[in-house]
Order: sequence, then structure tokens, then C-alpha cells
Amino acid sequence: MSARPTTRLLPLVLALALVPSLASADETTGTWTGAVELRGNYYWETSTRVMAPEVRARLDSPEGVRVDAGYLVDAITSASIAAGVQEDIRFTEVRHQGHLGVSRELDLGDMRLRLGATGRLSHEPDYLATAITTYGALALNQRATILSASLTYVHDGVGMVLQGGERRVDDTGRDLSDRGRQGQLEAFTAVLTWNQVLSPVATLVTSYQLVHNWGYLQNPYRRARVAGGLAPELHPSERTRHTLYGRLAYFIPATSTAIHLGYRAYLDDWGIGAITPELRLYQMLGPSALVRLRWRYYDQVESFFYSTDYVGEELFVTADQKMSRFSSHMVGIQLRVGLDFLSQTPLSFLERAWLDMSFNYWFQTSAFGNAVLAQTGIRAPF
Amino acid sequence: MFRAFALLSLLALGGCVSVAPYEREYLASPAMDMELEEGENDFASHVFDSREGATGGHGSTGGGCGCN
Repeated sequence: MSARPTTRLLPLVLALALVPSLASADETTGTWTGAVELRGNYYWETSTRVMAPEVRARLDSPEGVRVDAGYLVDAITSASIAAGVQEDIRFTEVRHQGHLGVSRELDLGDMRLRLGATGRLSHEPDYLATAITTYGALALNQRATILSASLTYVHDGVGMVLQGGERRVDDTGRDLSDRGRQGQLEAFTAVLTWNQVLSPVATLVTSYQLVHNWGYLQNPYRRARVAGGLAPELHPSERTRHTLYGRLAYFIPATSTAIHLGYRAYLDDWGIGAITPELRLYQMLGPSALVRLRWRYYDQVESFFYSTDYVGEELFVTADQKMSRFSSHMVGIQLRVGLDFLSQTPLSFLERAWLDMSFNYWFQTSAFGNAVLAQTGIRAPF
Repeated sequence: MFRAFALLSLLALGGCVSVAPYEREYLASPAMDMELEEGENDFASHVFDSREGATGGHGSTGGGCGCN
């Protein structure tokens, strides 16, 4: 496969975004709108801790042009399981991720078509991930139906940097811990999504995602147990993945309660099949406060080449816990508060903002063990 | 699994009768607006991708952190 279809589509999408608009929903007001969001993310498990602050912004012009941008920093403190080293050495790695997207909505009479493209870049000392997505969304029936499609090309460079010990250099000053580039991971992802308003109190989202990965699909740090010793992982060099997803949301006006039911079914040609049902209950506590309860279940079967011990005659070997059979339950609570009480204060510019705080506990039967995911954020529209 | 998906799709087909914008007051509630959770979901999806064999259903496409 090649990147040529994506590179052809991108100039077309950008050109459409820059031509004068035929019409747009925001033209009547003539104002720019948007939102700024600041978030703090925290993840904890026995072998890994992640602190990840991020900022996001969205800007919509009266002509229907939308610009999205975001920046995130991951500080990942990790040890044996995630890094693949054999002793419990802790080290911290920093990852930077940014994305920038532009799209434009075109008026097609009874329909509206949004075309856009987004680029994403993620950098850490041993991994450089790049992705470009082109997409289109067709809104019908006064936006009661939205059909969208996207195509993403991923091109990642996988390196290897030995962490945790003293930094060593050779006679020329070269860092000996940096083992250089190990390989290249590439992917095409296609997603079809159908978003439907079913009634004045119900909506449904369904989607299908196809991913084809090829290239270097193992982890250079992990070692599998082979014939009583340790050997580098070796995974197949291609993988095709299918995902079906649905989410039904229903609002009960009498109690201001919303119920969201989600379901994901996954299958790939490495033999992994998984299901992910999810239930979210939302309860409005007045006009400016909301509490959300969440339960998410995940269950997968192991890949065809997963084993805890290999004899040495296998084509593929892995030490990746994601290839094993396991299940997990996540339970969580979130509180969201509208900041309209700031309207008479010097912070009145935040009066339309919402603050959210969530705490999730993850019970996992995999070797990663139980985990905590906590997040907080403030989203201020303007 | 596929029966559930087919059922959801049939429900969606039934919903093709348009609901006018002025009838969508409840759908504008913060409890129904999934876009408000986009930022939160993106990071959570990244975590799931790095700890689970499955992917998708949320727009994430891997990259970094052992997400392959």
C-alpha cells in the first residue's frame, strides 16, 4: 500500500477550505465562535505513572471554516513490564504530541458537507509518530442525520533507547544508550460513522473501523521466554483489524437523567476478538451541575501466537500482555459543574465554562494489574 | 454481537423521520452532548490502546507508548 491517495486528497480538502463560502449556518450571526479546553490527565498502575497536561482550542469562522489545535505533554514514569527490562528500574520519559486541523462546511441546499484534514505529530526519545487524516461529514434532515467518513495514514518511526542506567558515551561522545531506529510502523485507517437523532430524547451513533498495519509491529524492549532463555519479540509484519461500535443515548425529561449504552465488537487476523459494553448514567443536579456514573467491561481472547513459554520453533514470539487472554472492569464517577456563578465576578469571562473532575478505577486480570485514571478539565466556549 | 448491531441500525433507520431543531431541547442537555467528552475520551482511548489488544470505536489510531 502507498500514501498516494492521502497525499492527493489533502490539497483538494485544503483548497475547498480556502475557497469563498457558498453559505454557512453561522453567516447570519457574523460572529466567530469556539472553545478553549485545559485538561490534566493522570494514570497510575503498579509499573507506570503518567501525568499529561494538555490544551485544546477550536475556532469556527462565520464562513464555516473550523480550525482545531491541541498540544499534550506526557511524563511517563515506567518500570519493568512496560519497558521490558528485567529488573525494577524506574525512569521518566517525556512525550510531546500536537495536532492541527482545518475543515470547511459547504451548503448544498438541503444538505451540508464538511470536508477537512488533520495532522498529528507525537515525539518521544524512541518513537516518532505521524498521522494525517482526511474526512468528510454530510449532514441531512436539518442535521438529524450525519454520515461521515475518514481516512488516516500513520507513519511511525520506532527507535530504542536504553533507560534507567548511567548514561554512557563512546570516544566520539555518541550516546551508547541510543540504539537507533529499529523499524517503521505504518497503517491505514478507514472509519464510517452514522450519527442519527432518533427522537426528541434519543440519539444513536454507529461506526465501522478498518485498520491495516504493516511494518515493525513488535516492541523492541520486550523479551519472550524461548527455550529457557529470553529472545526479542517477533510479531507478524501485517495486521488487519475490524471494529463495530454503537452508542445509544436516551434522555428521561421527568428526572433529567440520561442513559448511554455503548457496545464495541473487535476482531483481527491475529486471532484477537474482544467485546466492550459500556454504561454511562448522567444525572443533572439543576441546570449547572451533573454527575456521571460509568461502568465499562472489556474481554478479549488471546492471539494465535501468544504463549508464556516458547520452545524455539515458533514463527512468532511475544511477551506482550495485550496479546493474552484477559478481562477488565472500569468503574468511574465524574462531576461536572457549570461556572455561571462567576458572571458577577472579575472571572465573568468563564461564566459559560464547565469544570469536570473524574475518577475511574480499573480492575484488570492482565499482568498490568489494577489502575487508576483520573482527569480534570475546564472547557470555556466563546 | 452482530444481532445487536443490526438492531441498533434498524432503530436508526426508524429515526430517519426528521426531528426538527426546535424539538431537540433535551438533546442539547450536557447529559446528551457527547462532544463535551471528546477531550476526556481521547486520553482515555490512548490508555486503552496501550493496555488492550482491541482498538477503535473512538477515533484513536495508535502511535507512541507501545500502542502498536
